[in-house]
Amino acid sequence: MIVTVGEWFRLPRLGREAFVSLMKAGLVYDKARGFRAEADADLIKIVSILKGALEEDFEFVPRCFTCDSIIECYSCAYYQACGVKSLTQNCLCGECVNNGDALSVYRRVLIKRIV
Amino acid sequence: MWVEKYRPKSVEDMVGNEDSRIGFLNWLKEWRMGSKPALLIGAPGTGKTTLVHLTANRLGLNIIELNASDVRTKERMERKLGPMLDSQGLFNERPLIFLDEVDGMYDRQDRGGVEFVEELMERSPAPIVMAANVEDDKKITKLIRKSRVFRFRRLPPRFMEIYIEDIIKKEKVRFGKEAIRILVKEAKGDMRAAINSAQSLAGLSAEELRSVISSRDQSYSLREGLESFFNAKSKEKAYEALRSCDATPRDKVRLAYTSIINGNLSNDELIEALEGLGDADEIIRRIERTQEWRILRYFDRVLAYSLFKALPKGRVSYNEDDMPWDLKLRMWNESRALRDASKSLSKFLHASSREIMSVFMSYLLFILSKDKESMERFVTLLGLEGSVLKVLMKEADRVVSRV
Repeated sequence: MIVTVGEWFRLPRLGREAFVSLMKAGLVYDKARGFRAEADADLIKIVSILKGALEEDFEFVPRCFTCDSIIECYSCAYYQACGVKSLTQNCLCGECVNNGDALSVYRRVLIKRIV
Repeated sequence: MWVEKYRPKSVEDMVGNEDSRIGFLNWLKEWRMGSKPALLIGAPGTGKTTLVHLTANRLGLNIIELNASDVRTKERMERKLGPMLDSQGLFNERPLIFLDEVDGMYDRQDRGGVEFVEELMERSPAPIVMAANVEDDKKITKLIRKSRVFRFRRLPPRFMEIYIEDIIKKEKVRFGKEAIRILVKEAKGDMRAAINSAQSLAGLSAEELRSVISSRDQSYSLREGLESFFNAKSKEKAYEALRSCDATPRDKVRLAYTSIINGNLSNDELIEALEGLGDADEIIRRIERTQEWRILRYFDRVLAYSLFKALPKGRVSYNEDDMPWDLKLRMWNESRALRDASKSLSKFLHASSREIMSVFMSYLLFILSKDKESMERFVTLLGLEGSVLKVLMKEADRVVSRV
């Protein structure tokens, strides 16, 4: 199962204890929309719980902070060295990184969000 | 120093941890008396202290800071913060209390400091911001519960890449893309380290950089060290990762154990790995028994070499859970159904429910696994709920797969 960080997703019923552990790890639940990993969620813990509970692979993928596209971690030059796939809140896609003006674009988007 | 020259001047100048940064800014804007304090948790170099200073500047707050270099006993803290607490509003100054590295406040030299902070949290007329380097420390559990937590992750390499690239452009030094990537990888999410390396190694080619970096000693947290260890390509790299871990041997064994049992290993691989772990554990026990600390020098090598041989690459990753989650869930969700079934069965078989579980249940489930209808009749006969049937069918499948 592959889920984008910050998006709502559904899970089968896993029992009370697993639910409590997921909530403690920072997942939020909404009856109508399902589950979502909050900004301060412990994604490593959530992945570990869900891998065991679902008995299948579970992975969070980040979105590009500037263009909002889904990032394919596998093609990234830093894939081996990076904790993004399990830890971070945001990342940048390959196109945005290689754009000569990446930092300015990033800052423009950030200022919009802060305001 | 580039690190000073390019220190962010505003919250917008920083990179990474966007949600925490925006969340913290909003928390401080909306702070009212009685609000929870903020606790920023994250490894060194992730921007916690910088963010507090920049946000306070932006909102015109006057920071009163107590960091790890200050002695933070109750008396000292009262002396430093007392006047501020009493004269609040007198000079129209809006203070912000910043306690850096609160996870280090539990030492003897800071006696009473934590109690003072907890008291202060209840009655402070100014926002309190605390920062801690570790989150898995039991010592700060209470603070976490009472605070609004903002987590700071190691910076993603791509954010670091664009930041370093920008500095290199402004400094007009020669540094190829490949060289920048090597620096970023080596910094492991610590922007300060990356900028310092960029300044000291500017102008080197990628090849020269590689040789300089490989000769450097690195220090890892236990999580980072074990992650590098499980992904190491050679025995020596695995040993280096373990050796550079800032943790006690006992913690290394404990977390290697929890990671291994949660890994995706076959029974044979698991046995071999646990035997390797046992060898390393034996060294610790021998040291404890004989107090011969010189043996400790062999510990990392024994652990690294024996586990490296036993563990297939990529199948084990860092995990702190003392039991695999599929097993925990079975115990939580299915044990009641199995207990109910064995209790009902015990009346028919004149045996204790414990005996039913340990001796008869597997055979019974194996026989019933051939035919779902028989299983349904069995559940009805015992007067059990329908949900028990599902659990028994699942358990029967497990028994069959083991035979």
